[in-house]
Amino acid sequence: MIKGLLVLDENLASSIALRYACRLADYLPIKFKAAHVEDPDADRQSAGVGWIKRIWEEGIEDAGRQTVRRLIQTEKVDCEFMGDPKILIGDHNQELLNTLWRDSYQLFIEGNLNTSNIDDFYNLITSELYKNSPTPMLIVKNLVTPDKAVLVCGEGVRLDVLGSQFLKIAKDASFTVDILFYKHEDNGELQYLDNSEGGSALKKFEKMLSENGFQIGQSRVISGSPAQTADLLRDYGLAITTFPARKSARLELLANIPIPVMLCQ
Amino acid sequence: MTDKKTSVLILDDEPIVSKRLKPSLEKKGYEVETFTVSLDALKRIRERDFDIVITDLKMEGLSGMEFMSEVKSHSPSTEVIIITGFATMDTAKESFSKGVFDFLAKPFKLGEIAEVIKRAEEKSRK
Amino acid sequence: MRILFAVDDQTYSGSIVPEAARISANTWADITLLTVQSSSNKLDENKADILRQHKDIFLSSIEGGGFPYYASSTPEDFEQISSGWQGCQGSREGSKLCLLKIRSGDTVREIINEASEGEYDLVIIGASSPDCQWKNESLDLPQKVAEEAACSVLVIKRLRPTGKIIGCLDQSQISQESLEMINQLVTLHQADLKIIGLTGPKGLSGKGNVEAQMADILNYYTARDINAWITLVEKQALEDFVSSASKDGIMAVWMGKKSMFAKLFSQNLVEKLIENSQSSVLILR
Repeated sequence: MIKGLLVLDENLASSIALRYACRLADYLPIKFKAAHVEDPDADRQSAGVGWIKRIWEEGIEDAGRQTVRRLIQTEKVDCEFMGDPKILIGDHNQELLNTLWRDSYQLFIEGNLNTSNIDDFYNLITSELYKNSPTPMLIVKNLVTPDKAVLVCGEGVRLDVLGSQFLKIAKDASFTVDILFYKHEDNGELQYLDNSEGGSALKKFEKMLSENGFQIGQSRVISGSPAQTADLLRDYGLAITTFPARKSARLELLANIPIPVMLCQ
Repeated sequence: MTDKKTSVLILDDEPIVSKRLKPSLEKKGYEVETFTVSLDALKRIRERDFDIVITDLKMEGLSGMEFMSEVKSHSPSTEVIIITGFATMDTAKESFSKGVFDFLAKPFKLGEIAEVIKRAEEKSRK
Repeated sequence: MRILFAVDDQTYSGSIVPEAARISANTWADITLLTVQSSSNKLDENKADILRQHKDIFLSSIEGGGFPYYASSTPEDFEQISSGWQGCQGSREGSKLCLLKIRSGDTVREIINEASEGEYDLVIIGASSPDCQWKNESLDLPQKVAEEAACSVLVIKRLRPTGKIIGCLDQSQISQESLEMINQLVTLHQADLKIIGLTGPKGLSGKGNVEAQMADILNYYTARDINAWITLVEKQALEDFVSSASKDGIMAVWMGKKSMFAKLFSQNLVEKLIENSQSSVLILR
């Protein structure tokens, strides 16, 4: 059973992430711990010591728990959670990072709505939380059904990392999985290339997955602009790849993809 | 007997539809009952006959098409008007093959549906 | 649903007759084909012929011999009415109306007047591409109709396969009628719906609890099995986004009286939007 940390707040992104996570549980053996971070300003945090601080923290924790319960009730989801919601008090990224390391989660999930600005996505995935997380990070951008996943390969993708992380998470998954090897081409139409264009790395990757008992559906090599390719991927319910190391066409592709993206490292 | 009001049942899972239609039809002298859950409406048509039934197509539980079949089998003289936000030629044709009086795609103006109801009323009185 | 289809004798009107027929037949709509002549003295027979020809194409574009419309075996005559002339078609019980109308006067004004007097739900109008004009008419006729009509207006510049409807819906104010109009288009084109949310420095823009309203709209569509996607766009980037997004599908912009988009877009937005669009634009009201 995979142990996933699902971060929730009372907003649209969280309501989508919550519903998506529950759909994901139909395709993956996964259980979620709901988490919520209260980030009080520094002045208030240092306002008291001893029992005063303890009472103040208990009040905040209680409010946080109610926030998560309210969201779960509003969304009427029926998936199973591991115990009560975890309420963290402090810096959003730091608290989550500590929790991920300390409590040995295997997947981090949060909602983050798709935007037209690539920098928003870049800033998210280069944040301290994303850079230093020990787990794959699943960013839920829209509400879709994860019945079909796609492994996004191409320049800069560390296939050994992608393969091993993917197998850890998805070896018992019931969704179908395709491979898309992406080649950047800004001019012209989207083109399907011969699979040999993916080179020996693609073949090795396919072989590694099949040797580990994973049945891959389609394997395709595509060239096109990031926007065109992202549009093509909207038929999937999950895109899985490694973190892009820098601002690149693949980063642009991942920023444009409207479906949830799982980043491995 | 001529004083008897024409009875209309409206079934649409979007409450706003009934909210718009009910006062306007009551003002025109119709006796109107509204439902948002198809199973509740089904229960009601088993209790009594209506002159006219207006139903949405796409609903949770019993679909509008199934509801119409139930209405027609229970009370063949009831005129059924389909209203739908997701119209296609196929659904319209299927509705007519099952004996619907008319088929209206949303959005529509109150005047448009009022005309259709009036024609349905005239037919049911013949 | 009632549809007004404004036409002239040019290709941009003629070439979209089958599309107008598809929309009308699938929504089981009453439709009026309207053209305008300048003089009010006497029926312009050329205009009447154009309407008859368009009607023939309209009916022949619908599978099953024009059903649910009535196809007369003889050419349609016109009779004078207060606003101009109207075709005298026969009728058949259960058929929907396909009326021919000729009004006299200024073309823009008469299309707008007919839209309001006839209580239509939608005006369909073609436009030349890329300049978006009507021949021999005042500048920007399609844009002016879209701006001033009381109901929704679909401007078709070029017919393209549409897999996506991009909706600037202003979730806090949008009317039920507009949501329903989108449903019909999504159903007709079997398209996905991309919902644009506007963001500012304080998050999503709009009145009240915008996030909850947007969630409601998303729930509304997902409950109806429509693939709906949310994309956030910063207010200041909206115009650029709209110009570029219109390449990918039909742009649908809610421009009702209380629309935030109507306030946010620069004054000539509708004109710019339609002019820059490479396919169709639906102005919702």
